[in-house]
Amino acid sequence: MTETIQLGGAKETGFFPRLRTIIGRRTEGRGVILLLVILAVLAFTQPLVFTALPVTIGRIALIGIVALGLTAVILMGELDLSVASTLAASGVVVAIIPDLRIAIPAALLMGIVVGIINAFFIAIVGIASFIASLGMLFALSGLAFVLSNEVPVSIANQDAGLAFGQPLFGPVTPRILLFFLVFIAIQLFVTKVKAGREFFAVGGNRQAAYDSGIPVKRRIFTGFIISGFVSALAGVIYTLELTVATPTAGSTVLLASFAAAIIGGNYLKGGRGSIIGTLIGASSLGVLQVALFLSGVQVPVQNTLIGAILLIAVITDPSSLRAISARVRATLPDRTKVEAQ
Amino acid sequence: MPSLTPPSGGTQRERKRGKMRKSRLILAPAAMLAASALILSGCAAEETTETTESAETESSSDDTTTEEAPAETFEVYALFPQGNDQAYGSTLIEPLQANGAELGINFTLSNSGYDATKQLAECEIAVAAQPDGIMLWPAVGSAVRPCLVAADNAGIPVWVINTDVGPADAPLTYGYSGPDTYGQGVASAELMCEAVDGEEVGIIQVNGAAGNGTAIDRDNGFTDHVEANCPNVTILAEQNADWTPAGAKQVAADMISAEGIENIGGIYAADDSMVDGAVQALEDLGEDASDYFITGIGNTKLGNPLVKEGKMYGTVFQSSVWEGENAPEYMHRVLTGEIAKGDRVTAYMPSVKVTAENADDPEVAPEW
Amino acid sequence: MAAVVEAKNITKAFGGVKAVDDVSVSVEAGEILAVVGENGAGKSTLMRILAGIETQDSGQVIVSGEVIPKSDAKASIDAGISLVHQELSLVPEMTVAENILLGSAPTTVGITRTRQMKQIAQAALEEIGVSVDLDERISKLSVALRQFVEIARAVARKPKVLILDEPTASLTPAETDYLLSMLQRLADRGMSIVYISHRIPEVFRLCDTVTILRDGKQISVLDVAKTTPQQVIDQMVGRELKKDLESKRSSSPGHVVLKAVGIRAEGVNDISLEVRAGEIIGLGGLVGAGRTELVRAIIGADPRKLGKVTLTVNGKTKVISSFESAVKAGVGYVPEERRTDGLALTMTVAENITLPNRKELSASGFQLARKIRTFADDLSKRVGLRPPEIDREAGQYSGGNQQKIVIAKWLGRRPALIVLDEPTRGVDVGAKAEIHRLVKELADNGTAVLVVSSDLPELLELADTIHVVRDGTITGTLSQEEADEKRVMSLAAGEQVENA
Repeated sequence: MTETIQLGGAKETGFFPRLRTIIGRRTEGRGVILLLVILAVLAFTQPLVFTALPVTIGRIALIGIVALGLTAVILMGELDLSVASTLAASGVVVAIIPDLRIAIPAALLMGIVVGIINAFFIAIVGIASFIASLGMLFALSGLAFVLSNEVPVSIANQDAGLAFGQPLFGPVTPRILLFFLVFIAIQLFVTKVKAGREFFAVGGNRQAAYDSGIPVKRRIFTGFIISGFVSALAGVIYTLELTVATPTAGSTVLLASFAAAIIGGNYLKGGRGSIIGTLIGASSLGVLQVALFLSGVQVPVQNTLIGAILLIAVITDPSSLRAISARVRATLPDRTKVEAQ
Repeated sequence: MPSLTPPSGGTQRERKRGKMRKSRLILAPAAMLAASALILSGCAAEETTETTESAETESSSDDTTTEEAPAETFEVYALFPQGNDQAYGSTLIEPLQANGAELGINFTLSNSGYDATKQLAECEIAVAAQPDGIMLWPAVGSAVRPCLVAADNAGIPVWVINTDVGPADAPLTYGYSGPDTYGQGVASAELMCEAVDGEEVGIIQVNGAAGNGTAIDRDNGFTDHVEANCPNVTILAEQNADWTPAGAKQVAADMISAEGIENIGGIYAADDSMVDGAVQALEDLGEDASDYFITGIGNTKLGNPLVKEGKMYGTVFQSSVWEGENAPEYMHRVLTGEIAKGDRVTAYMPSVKVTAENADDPEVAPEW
Repeated sequence: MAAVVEAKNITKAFGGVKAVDDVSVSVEAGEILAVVGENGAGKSTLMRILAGIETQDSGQVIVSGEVIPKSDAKASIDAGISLVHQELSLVPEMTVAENILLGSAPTTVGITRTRQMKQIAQAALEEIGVSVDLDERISKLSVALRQFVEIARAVARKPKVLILDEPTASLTPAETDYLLSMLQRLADRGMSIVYISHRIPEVFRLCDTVTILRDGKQISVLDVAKTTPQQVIDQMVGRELKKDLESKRSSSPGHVVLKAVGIRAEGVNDISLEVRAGEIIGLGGLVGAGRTELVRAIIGADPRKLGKVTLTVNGKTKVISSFESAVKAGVGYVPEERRTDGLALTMTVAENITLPNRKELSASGFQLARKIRTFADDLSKRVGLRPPEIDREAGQYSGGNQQKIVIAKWLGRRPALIVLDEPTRGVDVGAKAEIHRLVKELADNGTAVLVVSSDLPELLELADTIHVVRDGTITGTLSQEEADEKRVMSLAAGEQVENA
């Protein structure tokens, strides 16, 4: 080869330029900034957040676990609105089967089945995931009410449930441990495993994914199964910790998990984002909620604040920023000066 | 071989945009987030000063009347499933905080929105904050055990309001003050039986939100009493609604069309707001609500006028003010050791019946 | 010599219309086959069938004697057919290396072997002689570089046959030049290449054989050495194309309509220009020189840093500060990306055409249906929309026809100034000639026209005066008499114009 064409910037070699390139390639920037700002403010106003660290981490795990599974689906540009009701229904399943050794696998299996049904409607029948999973949301919350006979169901083995809420070692409760296991598993899956990496292709350019021979439908199935399974796992955790399954469980989960994913830099149309981003988003939300709770801030105010942060997360997306600045300038009166006339 | 003068690093437009993007990416969110953080800390600060201020003013007014400041101040976390977002909650919180301030109790309020898991998480945080006491209004009555265990392990006393916990969980708490939800159902049933006065009547029943403890208790109280005491009243159908007039109107209309309006002589709804919805459903059919035997629970600002107008036969007064005033009293007795662990005090709000006869009395003026 | 890849009697219909009708092509090792035809002739469909992306109704694809199963992209790739798409098919947020090995990354028990992946990607890039950071995300790369990454992906699969669909559409002349010599090298090493292009000169420079498609049918297969460009064009179009290169307009420009002074914006550095009524001003230069940025800044579609723009219509002069004010003052704009900027693809032709003319076609807020129909009908006929069915969705039309709809949209307003950005990119020869006719007609009727084009013959044919833009400034201005391809190119590339 005698001739090459240099079209892009060359690979950076120095340490700092290299570091800058690496950081420039990440999508979590906004989530990190938000988390740092929150932590900095709280260090002065609510140091209790840090002294009660196990509780704070537990809170993060509570918000985050569903968000992690959801992210797998969001990366493909799909939505799974059924996560919260999957959680409720699987929680009820755990409670109505007396033997936990059967109940837990049954609940998890239910999550997988829910994922398969969602994916069937989306990938095979061709319904938009918003609609398919919305249908699933209603179906499952109905199922949760039917299975529970519309009342909270206590688990038979109360002691097992109460034990489940206790730390295993140090501050680590089973919930926190499971959360980190799920995080590591999904993180490895979407960064190291070929099938997981291809989620980005399915979300970023589906036609390209098809054309390259990627089994797009199978990937969609995988994604929804992950989401369903993780939601069901969350349902199991919720029920065991509460020792009671409520058919209304997880009513605040759906929005919180989407919020965590969005704050973490995941693009709802797919192809851009990361599991680490979701972890950071969940951490920001979790810490913020703990802090606001400790300050006794009214819930509507809390929600307003979280909504504002969500909006900021969305509008600080580089492409949105550009559009906004252009529009703002266009609406401002013409201030252009003529230099040489 | 062609000679090349290729542009490096994309088109000029793209390069410049790239630069701009970077700087904005860092600056804009940082500025916005800083602003939001200020709002956050501002809110927090405002909130705390507000409560302390009110505490001061209350105690100073207290000074002038009783010449005695509270001997001790207490920090109490109040874990509620609703707050100023709902009428009952907000009319309860006002006397709660006022009376609390007089007694030297500073309440930190939370609102879990009836999500039991969220309430458990809030309970964990509250326990970690090590307050003097926790006041619990359960989001789901049967799902409080882990919270109670955590508080018990930390030696923090728990007082329950509004919806009592089950007998198994009761020993972990110091007591309960609030409505007798089962008794309210009974009282409404008594009103129904009284109104019907021995006639053979079919009624439809609108229950509260599915799975909600209050809804279940009132349903049981009503049904038990009707079955035992007035067999002439037949419950033709029952359905859950979401406590709102709109939801109740919907399910009432459904039941009316399923059973046939000619077979229905009365309606019981577990809440006055839902009575209002059911009345609307009747009126939509061109019926006059006063021709029907209708009872509710609440004596709310919506329900009381219905009684006066004769559209509703009677309702049962649930006083948010009573609950808000009494809760700090009992909490204070717990905190000062007057109520010891194991005493388990239960204080029911009187289930006062309100009919056309007493609907104008000041004692039963609607509060919410 | 035996054919490496052979497509036999391929037929494919979309809703009753035969997109590909009994076409057979074959290509030998090291052969470069051109497939040409107007837009909608069935070239892309045929190629998608070869690549196993589209399912043929009948016919077979045979690679080295073996029949490839229908619509199995993976099987086609494995058999050695690699397609470089017309619409870029890269994943924006994945890295260069990941995109090159999309769907075929090496793995151990499902886990991607990153180092090996990068080695393969590097080898493929070296094979086509392109240097780029393997870890860079595609979204950060220029359009040209993306095109090369796309080719590297196809090459990385070690294909027997490489299919390229309009690979030069977004490349500068220098990049195109490089691409063509690179393909020649690949073919010299025995790779078969199928090359699809509108650009006849490229076909004649590169290819051995040319297959001509028209309306889904195979018209002929010609040996490039034994034919002429005119012959190929005639067969593509199916009619003798009038050479109106000589039919220059006798322009007699009127008053100054557009006056832009000292425009500074992103990528634009202090440019002033004027356009008179009835005059066509061309903006030449390389892709990325700042021409699109300039016209967008002039009409207020993108923010300006400095500069003043006025528009004089009927003796009244108005300052243009925003795109809204520009449209109100009588500016029509046909953007570069018509798919995204210029057309609502899911709306009908009639709706699109009447979009900027809402006020005239409604009475007290209500739209006048019949008036709209006659208006749209008339315009679609004037621009030569084929078929002129105004109730069809714009998205159902081919690129050339879509461009006609965009032009029709502005024609209806009788704009004082019309700005056209690459008006015939990706448009077939026949439609191109019609668009040129329309632009001239507009100018003859007194509209001031500002046209950006990277297509030199087009610029030379249309423009009365050509400003050549480089690095955000005007490097030279040529009158119609002075202008030729060489002068424009040397100004664009930054060389001195030698005195002729």
